[in-house]
Amino acid sequence: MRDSSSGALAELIRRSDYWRRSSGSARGPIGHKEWMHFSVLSPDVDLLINFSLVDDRHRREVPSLVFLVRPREGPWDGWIERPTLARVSGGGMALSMGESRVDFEGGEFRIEAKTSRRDLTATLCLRPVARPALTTSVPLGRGASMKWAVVPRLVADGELQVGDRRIELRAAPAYHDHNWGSFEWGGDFAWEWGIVLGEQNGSPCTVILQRITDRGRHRVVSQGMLVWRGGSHARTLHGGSVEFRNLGLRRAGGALRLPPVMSLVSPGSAADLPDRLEVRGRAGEDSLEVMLDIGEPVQIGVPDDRGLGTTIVSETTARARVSGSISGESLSFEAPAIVEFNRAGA
Amino acid sequence: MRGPEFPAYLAAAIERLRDEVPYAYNAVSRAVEPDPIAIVIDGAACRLRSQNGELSVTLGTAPASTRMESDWLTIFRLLDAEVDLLEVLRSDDLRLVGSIRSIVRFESALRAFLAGAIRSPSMSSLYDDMRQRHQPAGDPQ
Repeated sequence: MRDSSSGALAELIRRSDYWRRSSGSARGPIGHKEWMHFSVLSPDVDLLINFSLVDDRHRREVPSLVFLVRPREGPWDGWIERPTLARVSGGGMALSMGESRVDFEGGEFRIEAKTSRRDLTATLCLRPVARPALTTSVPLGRGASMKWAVVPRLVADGELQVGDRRIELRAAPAYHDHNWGSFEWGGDFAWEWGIVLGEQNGSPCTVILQRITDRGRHRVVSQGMLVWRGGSHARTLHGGSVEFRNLGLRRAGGALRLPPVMSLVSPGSAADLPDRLEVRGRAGEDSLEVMLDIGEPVQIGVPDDRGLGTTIVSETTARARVSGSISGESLSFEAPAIVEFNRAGA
Repeated sequence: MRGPEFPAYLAAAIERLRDEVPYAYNAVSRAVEPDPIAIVIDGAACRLRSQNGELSVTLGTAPASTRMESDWLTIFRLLDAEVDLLEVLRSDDLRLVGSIRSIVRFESALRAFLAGAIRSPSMSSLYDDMRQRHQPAGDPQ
């Protein structure tokens, strides 16, 4: 899509997907958290890269890079890099931290990511092929909220270095979102979030799943299924039209937990993750069913903002079976997926 | 390049905890107050005690309710999650002696210390220095 429509798409992204930045240093609300997340699901590898800026207690923005990679049939590998300096301008999309950077140039996201340990590097171009969406605030506990911009489908090219293994990416399906808001890790929320990057009749078909609950996971605050067909948003099902079901228990042994010291701080396993996640939605004549077989997790331990507790974010590979009917057109495909579980640490 | 021994690093870490994560400092203090801890790393001995809410690190080991003895290599392997506490106890790379009560308090103090350390903005530079000076030769970082 390299014509005036791609120019319009790029302009839409520039106008919506810029770094908001914290206002903490100007005596604004503290607790600002903001990240740009990229997922690439290729036949050879699953890749997650996340650039974040998070306020500390002294109103300083602290940069982090999360680099998670799973070569096909191999275990997860990854590292969390914490450079001391970041350069970013509010209102722009460029961010550099240490030897890593992300920017939006020539209608593409350009990423260079490098970790100081584990020998992980990525050089990527991600070209958007679907219209972005900007959501309203999502409540995350009392008085706290998060906003969300998403570019649900991109095409990724580039190369990775994972230890001594070089992996090329060619036209790999990818996803990007950008979250920002003032809220507390350890606040009264938990979430399940998933992306399915599939194809229907040779055209990209992307499904996003999200459910936000209270921290005890007893009460649903928000839930939805969002569908893009080709480059356009096709349908959103939300609220009472949607049902999430966690089935079974993985009973996994130790999962890779990052940073490594979190295994000492908050020992535990991924044993509480489900084996399967089933999400169904129905509204009027439209229906959608997504069945996910949950695979191997990698876990990020995040210190809670109050007290000494921990929040565990588990990223899992998954295999999705999607079926349904949207606006009279049937959907039926299998595709790779990523599912993220945000829960209180044990 | 050898640098300060373990007691000096522990004292510096406790000070940073007090200044930057006081609620973690207080949690360590509460866990240690009834049961001082003797720590020996590669022969360098110290005692961590708490009195009236104030933690202190003194050289030497007596008297203490709990004694922990280990080496730098094991410390780094634990922090890198190459091994867990149970593994190093079983392999005798880390030896812990004390009553059940005092060992439970030691574990509480350790978890509170680590939970505070990951929240301390300046702790990572102390850790990097410690690692640079005491990483065993040939051991990959």
